[in-house]
Amino acid sequence: MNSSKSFVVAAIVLSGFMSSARAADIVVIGHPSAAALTKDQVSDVFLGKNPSLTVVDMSESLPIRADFYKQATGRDAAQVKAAWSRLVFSGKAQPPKEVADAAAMKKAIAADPKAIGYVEKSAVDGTVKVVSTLN
Amino acid sequence: MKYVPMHPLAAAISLALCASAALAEPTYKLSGFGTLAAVHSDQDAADFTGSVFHPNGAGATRSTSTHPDSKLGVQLNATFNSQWSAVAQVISQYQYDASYRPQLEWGNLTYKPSDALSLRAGRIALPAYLMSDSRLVGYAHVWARPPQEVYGVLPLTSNDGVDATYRSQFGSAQNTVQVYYGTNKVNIPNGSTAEAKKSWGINDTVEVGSLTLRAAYTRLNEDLAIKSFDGLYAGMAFFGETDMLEKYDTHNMHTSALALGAQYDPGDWFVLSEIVDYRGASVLADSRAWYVAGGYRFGKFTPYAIHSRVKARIEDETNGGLMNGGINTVLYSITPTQKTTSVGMRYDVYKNTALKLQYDRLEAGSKSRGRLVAPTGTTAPSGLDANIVTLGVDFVF
Repeated sequence: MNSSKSFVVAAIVLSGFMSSARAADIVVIGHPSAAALTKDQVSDVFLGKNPSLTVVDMSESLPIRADFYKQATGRDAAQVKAAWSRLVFSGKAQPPKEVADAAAMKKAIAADPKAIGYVEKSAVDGTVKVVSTLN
Repeated sequence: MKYVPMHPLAAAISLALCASAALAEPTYKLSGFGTLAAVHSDQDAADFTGSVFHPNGAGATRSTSTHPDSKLGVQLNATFNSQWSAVAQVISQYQYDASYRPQLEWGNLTYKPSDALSLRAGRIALPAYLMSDSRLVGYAHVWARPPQEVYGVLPLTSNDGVDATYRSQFGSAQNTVQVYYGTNKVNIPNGSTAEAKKSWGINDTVEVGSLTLRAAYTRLNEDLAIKSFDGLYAGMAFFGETDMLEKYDTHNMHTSALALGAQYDPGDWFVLSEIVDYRGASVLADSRAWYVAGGYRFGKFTPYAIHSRVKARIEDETNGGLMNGGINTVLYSITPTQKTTSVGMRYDVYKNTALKLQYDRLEAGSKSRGRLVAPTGTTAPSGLDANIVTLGVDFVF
């Protein structure tokens, strides 16, 4: 009984540790001229509520995408898709442009002063600026 | 055969589109949405329908029907540059003549002189409600359909005209104000039509984090031509009830609606509510409608509940002599009193696909048939109720 209890506790602690470790180092990036954003502003942008910035999204097949949205908006992929479909099918917004990897993301961000995206922290270089660390 | 005349604005847009297309290298994006749903009703005296534009549904005509909620929409976005874009959306759904012939739901040209201001011309969503813009997109919502008590008060979904939207930021709050003006004509089953000769409105939406608040005022100058009322008007004329003919004239009726909506959606759970106060004219009685909905998200599963009501404020006609009975029958048949309690589950089964199972307990008011429809050539008593089960799949692409 006792040992099974401590196993459950250990499993919970471990899974919590693993999920935070896996998803810990994503940062929001913008053009080198972009201003910093608060976490609430990041959430608004990626849920389509701020038309003055252009979202660049990672391809749906990449695991970073779901991790990022969970951290940035508190929503899972399906909820984010539902939120965007509300905007797209009202003609109010275009679905975000998608890129296949961090290099393509940085290239798209560096080319457009209004673009905003996300990459793993380790992928950041001088072509883009970190506008939020999601903390 | 429904003929959708080409509005002068639509013609102007086509021209503008051609002109812009000649100037710029546009980017196109094709997307779509759809719902396939079966609805079962245990009420065999009247049908549960998807809207007033549906000639029949589930219940009396057939106990299980795919007509009320099924639809397919395809949308083409064209972006010419950062200021000019266009959108066309075509929807196939059940309509007045029992066909699924596709209709142009929206087709408009957008000009954005700045990030804050957006101007549109063409066929535009009629923005009476919190979810007006996406009321036909099942995937965007948790429910099987928007609560009919509220969304049925103003069933029109689009308008041919112009609108302007202005967005501003106050600290962490986003404010969006929209004004619009246009016209619309729709066919209703059994050879009837409704025409909004003038329709305009103003609405304001405030978004602060997870909270959305909206107020919308809609004003319509309508003509209504309902075939089955012809006999009533002939009777009024025959009995010399000229006061009644004037009182219940269905031309140029000035009606309005004030709708207030609120939504709080921090991610794991959500609540939303809307209330609409409708001021009718002639045969369209005043009414008030509201709903409250909420749900909790357990990963891919979202159980939810909705309660909605509409109450007609009908003053029985007593000055029409022999025509009183006929007039009151019409008044009660047009403006429903009804309440529905719903529970359901949304299951996000795949990345762009959701399954929904919803149970509705619908009760019409004692003197009303609610939104239940008696099949053509039959009558149904008032005060009916229905147990309705909907199983559907919603998708976007």
